[in-house]
Amino acid sequence: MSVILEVRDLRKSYGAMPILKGIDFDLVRGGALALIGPNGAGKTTLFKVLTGETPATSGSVSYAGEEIVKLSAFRRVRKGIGRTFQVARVFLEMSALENVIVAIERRMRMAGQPLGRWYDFRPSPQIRREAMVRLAEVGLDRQCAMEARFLSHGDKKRLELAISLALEPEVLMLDEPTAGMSPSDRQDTVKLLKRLKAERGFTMMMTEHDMDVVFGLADSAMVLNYGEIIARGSLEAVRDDPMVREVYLGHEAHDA
Amino acid sequence: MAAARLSVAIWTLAGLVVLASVPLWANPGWTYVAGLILVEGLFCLSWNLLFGFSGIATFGHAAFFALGAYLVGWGLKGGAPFLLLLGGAALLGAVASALVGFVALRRMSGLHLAVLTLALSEVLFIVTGNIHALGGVDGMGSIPRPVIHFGLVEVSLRDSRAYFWFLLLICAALALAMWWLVHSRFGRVLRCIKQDAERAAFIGVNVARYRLAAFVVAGAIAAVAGGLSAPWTQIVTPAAGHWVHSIQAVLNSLLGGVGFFWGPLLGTAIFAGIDLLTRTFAGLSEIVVGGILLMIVLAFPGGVLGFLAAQRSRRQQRNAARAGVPASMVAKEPAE
Repeated sequence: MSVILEVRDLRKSYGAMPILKGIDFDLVRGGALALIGPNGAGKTTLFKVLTGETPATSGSVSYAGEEIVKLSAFRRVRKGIGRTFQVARVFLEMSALENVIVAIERRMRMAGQPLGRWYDFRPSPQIRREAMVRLAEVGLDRQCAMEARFLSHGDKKRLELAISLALEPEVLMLDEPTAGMSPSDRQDTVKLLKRLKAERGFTMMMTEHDMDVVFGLADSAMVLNYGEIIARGSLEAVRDDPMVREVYLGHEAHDA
Repeated sequence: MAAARLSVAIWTLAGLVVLASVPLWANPGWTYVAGLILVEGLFCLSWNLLFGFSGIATFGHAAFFALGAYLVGWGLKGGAPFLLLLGGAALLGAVASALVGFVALRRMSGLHLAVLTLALSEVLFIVTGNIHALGGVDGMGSIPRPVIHFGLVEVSLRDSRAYFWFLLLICAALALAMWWLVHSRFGRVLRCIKQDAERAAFIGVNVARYRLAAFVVAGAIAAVAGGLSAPWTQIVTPAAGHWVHSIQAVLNSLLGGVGFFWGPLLGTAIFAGIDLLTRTFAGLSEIVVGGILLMIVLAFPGGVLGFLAAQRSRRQQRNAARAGVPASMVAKEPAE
């Protein structure tokens, strides 16, 4: 089992306020790690620092053996780290299809593949076909022509997933993939992600509040509290950890 | 789709033919105004390349126009070849906007950037007003219309008709080039940046580089517009780079519709029309313009073209409702 993301003594403060107090962990290639913890524990900050949305104060993040802690967000994306946002962010004034096309074109450009004749402003048929396939994968093929702003909340999340996957990331960071969804949408999303992960074999790291989703998707978990990791390991071990029960799962343990 | 593309081509061609015929039937005064609309229209299109299609608001775009106008005016008075001067204007605009963009664009966005560009253009305004070689505050007059030499062949643009056609040719070529740019892959990425720059970064876009590239293209084209205007008006004054001129580009574009490529050109034409109709009544033009602006902001935030498009989609939705298709499905054609 090789390690794809190695995080060492990662710290982040906003002003004098420490948010992350020295985070150490390894993300195993092909694994699915759930990051859990109460609100304000620093989950979102850790996500932001790992993806490059905000710079770390100190520490090291190495990706496949290469130090990336100082790289800007788009360079990390180019290395192979994709992400989604807690509240789905898609290009609202473009059609669902165009959203995916843009991502495919980015991936091809990053890989140095030809995108078609330079003067052609319409995406090539091959790219359009791939975009349709990727939309179908997340169940959005019927809405392909719809402007993204007209999509429902759940469909926006699906579209964002399609965009992120079109970049073919090695590591996919999901910030609350089922936030704000209905229970049935949640189950669908879990099934979808499970299937895509099995097909593509990408590594996954997610934050999630819903324990059913965590148990459905992740193979290990890590608990963050006040900017420190207080427990990690298999889902069962984390769930049964007395400290975790006290700070976080206490009220939810019965339905986990 | 092919039919839609054909109709765009036909409309563009028809528009060009009508414009090209202006000197044949209109009196010289009208032709002069038409030429001004072309130059100003190109200038406004270049501003809207930034605002409408890249999400960059600048209030000092006229500075680049002035740079081009002064370079070409000064060069023509010195007898330099016109095409070289126009190329030089493009280069000067590109270099100047690259410098401004490099310093400002990385660190700033939104209001800060808008105010900074305004301040820089004011600096240029004051500097040009104090350079005697460029005519100081009175500007540089009696700029000659050029003759273009192609080896053995000479094309004289001294006649205002000939110059008008040359103006139309260059403006149309540059406008179409910008249209292509907006619709190209490059333009698609710019639109992503406009809608959500951070999301664009997370699909791997180097946002700073794209924004800088758009800024440089817009600066170069604004400078060429300025360069084209110098022999047309035959005078260049510091007012070319005054903030009022920058704001005029903003107003023209808002009036026509910033969400539409041709909006700024339409807005320029409408404003020129208002100017022409009200110029015998001192102060009336300002009142009419002010009233129109209030109306746009309050009632038609999408400008004239935005209003027309909204009408059209309402009509389509009514028809669709009659045919029993859900409204959201007719919202837009796919991926163009």
